[in-house]
Amino acid sequence: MNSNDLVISTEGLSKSFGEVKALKSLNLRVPQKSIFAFLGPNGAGKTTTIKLLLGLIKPTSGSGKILGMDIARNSVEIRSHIGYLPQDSRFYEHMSARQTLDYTARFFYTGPQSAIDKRVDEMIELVGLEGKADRPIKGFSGGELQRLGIAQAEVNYPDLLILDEPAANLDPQGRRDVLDVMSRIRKHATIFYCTHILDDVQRVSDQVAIINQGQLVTQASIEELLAGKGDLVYSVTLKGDAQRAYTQVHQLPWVSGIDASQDGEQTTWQVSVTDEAAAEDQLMGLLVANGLKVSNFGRKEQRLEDIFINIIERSEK
Amino acid sequence: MSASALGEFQTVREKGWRRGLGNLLQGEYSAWFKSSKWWKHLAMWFSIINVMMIILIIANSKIVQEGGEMPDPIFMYGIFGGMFVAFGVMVIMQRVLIGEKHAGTAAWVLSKPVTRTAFVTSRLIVNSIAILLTSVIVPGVIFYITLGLSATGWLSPLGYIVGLLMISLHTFFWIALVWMMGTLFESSAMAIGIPMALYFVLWMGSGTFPWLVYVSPLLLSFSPAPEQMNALSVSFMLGEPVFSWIPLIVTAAYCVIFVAVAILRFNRQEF
Repeated sequence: MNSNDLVISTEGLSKSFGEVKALKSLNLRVPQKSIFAFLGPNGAGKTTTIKLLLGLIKPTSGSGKILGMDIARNSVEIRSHIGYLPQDSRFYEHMSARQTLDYTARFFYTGPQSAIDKRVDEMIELVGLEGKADRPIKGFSGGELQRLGIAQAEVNYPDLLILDEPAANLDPQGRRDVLDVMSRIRKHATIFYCTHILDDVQRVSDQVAIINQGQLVTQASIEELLAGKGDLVYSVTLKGDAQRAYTQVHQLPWVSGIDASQDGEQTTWQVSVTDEAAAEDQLMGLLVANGLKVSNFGRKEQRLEDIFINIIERSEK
Repeated sequence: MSASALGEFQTVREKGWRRGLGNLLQGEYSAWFKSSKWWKHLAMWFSIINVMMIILIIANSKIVQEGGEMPDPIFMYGIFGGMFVAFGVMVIMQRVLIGEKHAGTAAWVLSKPVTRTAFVTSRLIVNSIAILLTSVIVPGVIFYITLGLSATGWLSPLGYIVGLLMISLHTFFWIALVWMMGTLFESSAMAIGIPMALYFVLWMGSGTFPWLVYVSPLLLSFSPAPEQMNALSVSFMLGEPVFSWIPLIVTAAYCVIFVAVAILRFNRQEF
């Protein structure tokens, strides 16, 4: 990928807090106009990465670029092209939602007031805060603050939107609305976001990076990740004596592993394979030739949650 | 976003360290003056300074008429307008930066295209103006009128203005100090405790170490040893010779140092 096609790129980006290494040599590539999910367990280094990108903290070593500008030297200029939703949205409690959006917009635009007012109205409508726009935000619920956070992040037409847990604190409808907003915004902006809701990632993202203990574990397109990068799994349910067939299947060169479980007379195998065509052609025939009754045979649909947990567990071994 | 929509807007043109300063000042100004905050502070300082001074002036005229002695109201104004305001400043200013750091609003604002210098100076500028207006200038003008209408009579306006400037510089010293503490510490207790301890050390210590009055801001507002020297504010208001210019120069120098340290420190902080 050409470096001009990248919105975010980091080279060996590292951050230590005293003795604690929060981020270890991160090399991240975020392509333009992508919805890029940045995943990892709590304390993995996601928010540290975002704060480094925004210039809120300084790297211990390494470097990074956003929109071709250096994150350490051009931080203010970079922030004029970014919208950011913090993990825990906090705004001035004496302001209303409308005043907060007007205040935010004025960091980017000085006028005209009519255009700013129009943009503020659009954002209020976008996040469904019409009925509460003029109330002080002191009494806002967590979900309402989150909606306001999304609105203020988008008010300046950012080229890059950085969202730290955008669906946190939201009810199912709010979550769906956020995903819709993200899908709409992608036409003109790149979205880099952290979340723990992996179903959402599977629905809207096209690139995924997983970080654990401060290190990048994997980065791939969502299709690659779901396909397991060559590790396909076939689920097979059998009746009969499967011992001989088990040995034969296990010895096949394109079989990388079998997870077997027994439920009464029924045996279930999860067969990991590296060659999809060979598995489709040979696996079923081999089982039948061994006198087994096959009641279920098919490629197991991978869930991002399973893949995520596998990747994290493998990275910790 | 379509270029046509963006074309409607006039973009911010501030460059360098001033990036974001205009909006930050406007936001801070609104928090003080487009809410009830300014008149609540004004009412508080009117009660503490002006009501007390009116009572003192009435008591003073009665006692003097009866042949007794009582401190001059102008000397007492130096204490009320200096010491009391300094303690008030410590309470108000310790919340300014530390409150924003704890609440997370500082990190939010700093994620926008603003410089840290603009952020931190906007807090100093607007809070200084608001505090000086509500606790020094307006109560000072009311006291001037009160004094003029009393037996003391009308003081020279120019001397009185310079005297108020001395009290203002004394107040600004404490504003700048507590504001700087907000960049050095994360705890409100430290931001308020250190200036308060310093105040008492300078005040009580000047009896044992007389040189302390030369290197502290106290003499700008009131004299820790009134039998030996007048405060600069009192001297100017009464049109008397100034005891020493050194406290004025030293206090101004401290203020410059506090501003420089705070800006340097805030630019290195992590959020």
